[in-house]
Formats: sequence, C-alpha cells, structure tokens
Amino acid sequence: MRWFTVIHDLSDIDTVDPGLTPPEISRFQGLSRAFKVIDRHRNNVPFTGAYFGNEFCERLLPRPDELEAVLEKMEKKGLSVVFMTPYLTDTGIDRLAALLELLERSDGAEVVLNDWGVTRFVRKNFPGITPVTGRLVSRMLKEVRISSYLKPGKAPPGALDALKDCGYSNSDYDEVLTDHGIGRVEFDIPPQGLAVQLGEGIRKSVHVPFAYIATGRNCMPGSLNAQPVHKFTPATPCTKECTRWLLQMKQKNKTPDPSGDEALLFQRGNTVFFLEEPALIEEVLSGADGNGLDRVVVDAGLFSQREL
Amino acid sequence: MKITAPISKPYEVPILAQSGAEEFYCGVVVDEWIGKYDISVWMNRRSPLGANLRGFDELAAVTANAREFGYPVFLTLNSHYYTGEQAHMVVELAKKAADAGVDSFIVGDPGLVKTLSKSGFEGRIFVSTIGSVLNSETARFFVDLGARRIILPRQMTL
Repeated sequence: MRWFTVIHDLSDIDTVDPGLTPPEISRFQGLSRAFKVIDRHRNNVPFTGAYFGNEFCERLLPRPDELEAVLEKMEKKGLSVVFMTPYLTDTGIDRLAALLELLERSDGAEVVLNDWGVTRFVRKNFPGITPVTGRLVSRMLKEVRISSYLKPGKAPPGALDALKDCGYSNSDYDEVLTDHGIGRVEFDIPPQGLAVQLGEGIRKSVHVPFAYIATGRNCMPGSLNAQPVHKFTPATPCTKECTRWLLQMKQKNKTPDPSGDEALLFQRGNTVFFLEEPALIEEVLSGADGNGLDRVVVDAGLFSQREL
Repeated sequence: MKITAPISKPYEVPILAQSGAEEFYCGVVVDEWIGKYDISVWMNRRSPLGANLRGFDELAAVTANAREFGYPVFLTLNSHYYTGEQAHMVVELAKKAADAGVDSFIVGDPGLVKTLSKSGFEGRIFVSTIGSVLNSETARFFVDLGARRIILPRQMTL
C-alpha cells in the first residue's frame, strides 16, 4: 500500500507531512475517529508523494511557475507529484497543455483526469504521461441522506449491490479504460460502502477522509461578491474564495456516522463534501489486499479555513 | 432549429406537437427493474413515478401519437452509471423500446454508450447532459463510441 498526501497551497510543500490530525478540526468526533483509522493503517509509513492541482474547478488550475516550484521542491524531498485536473472547457485544455509539457519532463508523471475529453487529449498529445481516471468519472451515488435506506432489510440485495458498484463492472466500460491507457482509477468511499471489481491490471486508489457529493460550474461562494448579473453563472468573476473559506452545512436527516454525531458536511467552492464513515474507511482499508486497492490519498487539509 | 419536449403521458404528444414541438423524449419504468433494484435506484434521471411512462404499452402509445405527426421519440437511459448486470438488462429494454417505436436513446454513461453501439444501436445514441460534454474533445470521445448527437450541459454558451 502506498500513501499520498495532498498539497493545497504552495506553503504546504515545506511541511508536506503535517501530521494527520490538524488541531482545529479535532472537535468533530467523527473526523478524529476517521484519522485514528487512517493512522492505524498507515502505521507511520512515509508518504510516497503528494497530489497537487484541483479536481473540481478550471479556475484553480495552477500557473506553470507554481507547478514548476512544486515539482522542484518535491523532487528535492524525493517525493513524486501526482497532478490533479478538473472538468475543462476548450480554453482550459489550452491552459493545461503548458502544464502537461512540464509534467512530461518527469519520467512516468501521473495525471488524474476527471474528464473524458481531457483524457483523450492527453492520450493523443502527451503519450509520456501516465493517465489516472479520477473520482469524478468513477460515478456513484454519494448521498448522505441515503443512510436510512441502508438499514438491514430495507433495500433489496440487488439495489445494495448496485449502489456499492459502479459502471466499471460493465466489461465494455473496462474496454474504454484500457483503450485509453488507464491503469488506475480512483474512488471516494460512499455511505453505502465500496465494492467495485475492476478489470485485470487496473489498480484502485481511494481518497480519505472526505468524499465529494456533487460539483458544478456555478459557484455559490464565488458568487457572494459578484454583481447580480454574474451570480451563479460559469462567468462569475470569483476571487477564489474557496481557497480561504468553506461553508459548513447542516442536514436534518440521519447522518452516516453511527455514533449519532452530526454529519460533517461542507462546501468548498463549487463542491459539496462529506466525511466518510470511519467504519467504512476501516472496511475498505482492511480489504486492501484483495480488491486491487494499493493507494490511499489522505487529504488532511480540505476541511480547514485559512482565514477566519 | 427544433424544439424537443419531455413527455410523461401519451396524451401530451398532440398538445405539444400543436404547440411547436417536433421531437419528444421520455423515460420508462418497467417491472423487471423495480423488482430487482427497487424504486430508489433510478433507471434514468427522471422521477420514477412522477415523470416516467409506466411500461412499454404507454411507450408504444407515445411513439404512435408522435408518428401521426411524423416526429421522433427518444428514450432516456441516462443514469450516472449502470453496472455490468444493469447494462445487460438495459440493452434488452432498449431492444423492446426500439420495437415500440423509439428512434434514439439518451445516454450519459460511456460504458453503456459502447454496449448499446455493440448491440446494434450505433448512430442511435444521444449523449445526455449527464455525459458532461464541456469541450470538443469529449464530444469526439463520445462520437468515437457511437454517439450521433451531443446534448450540452445547460450552462454552456453556444
């Protein structure tokens, strides 16, 4: 099993292994439990590398000089960089090309692709890059309000099996993956659990402890300071509020946390996230030897506000 | 430019056709699916009981009504994903839907696009907004898999 951390900010590079339990988030019992599970499985194994970039918003593509700085500093630390990319428009793909040129200089550089068009573009123009299919492509139902439906005897077995699975169990989708040179696909851990069988030779990563529920191009936090005509449109002139702030959300329905803690649900920029259930993190990590899982991406910094 | 209108009951076809619609799309729920997966696992992105037709008889009535105007009917098979088992079931449903007069299928899952293409429906597949086509490369990706029309996400400018 290999462990990767996530770099949110260039200042993270100097403290790339910041510990897995930032103090400001310890008041959430579920989160503390999740990190205890992660810590126990990680067992002080050093990180192999770091994920950098963004999976959710074209506006957060880094500048080439930022990526270059990350690559340089991480190389000095002997750590690899896995570059994350979001859904992109044609304009975004043009911007990405300059970043891919930098990455292609590193032998076997990995890029997480969350858009089939970007995957096609990389396959065609950057054969030296190793493509990884991201969690936005690995579609599953990730609705925390589903928890009551998951109680024993409520849902038929066929429904539960389908909810834990995804489209990759269709052999034709498996062909799409292999046709595009994909050897790794990434997942969150949804409230119903994860039981996806992949085709031969395709490895699996999971992101912990946060999963995304939904994302989109119209950004509420980015619209807060915009003129009414620009609110909630892809053209909102945001000031990247998401890099400094998050919105904690509340729900009345039952939480995915069996202890009864309030669900940790929050929006960062255009994307809503939830805390994965610690028992399911345990279940997935414990089954690591038998289900193709050989990489864990630990994002300790997603639920933190840099300016309060 | 044509207006494509959603249908949830056969009687809506002539009303919408006389109001300017020239193409129709709809979803269908069938007992085989509900028996296996329950109503909570949607077969498409339309509300199972609120917006879907109930079975192939209603679907055939919709296509018959549309045929009177010479207009096509498209069937939504646009869940975010279909497992291998579900894809197999959906192909059988697509064959019955084609027999009931459906012209094309609206699909978002790349695996199902490929499965339907291999099952004889190549060129009769439209990519749903669920396919998230935000760039021209993604459009080419789906065309390579056998799609004929791309339905762009609502927020895209033309």
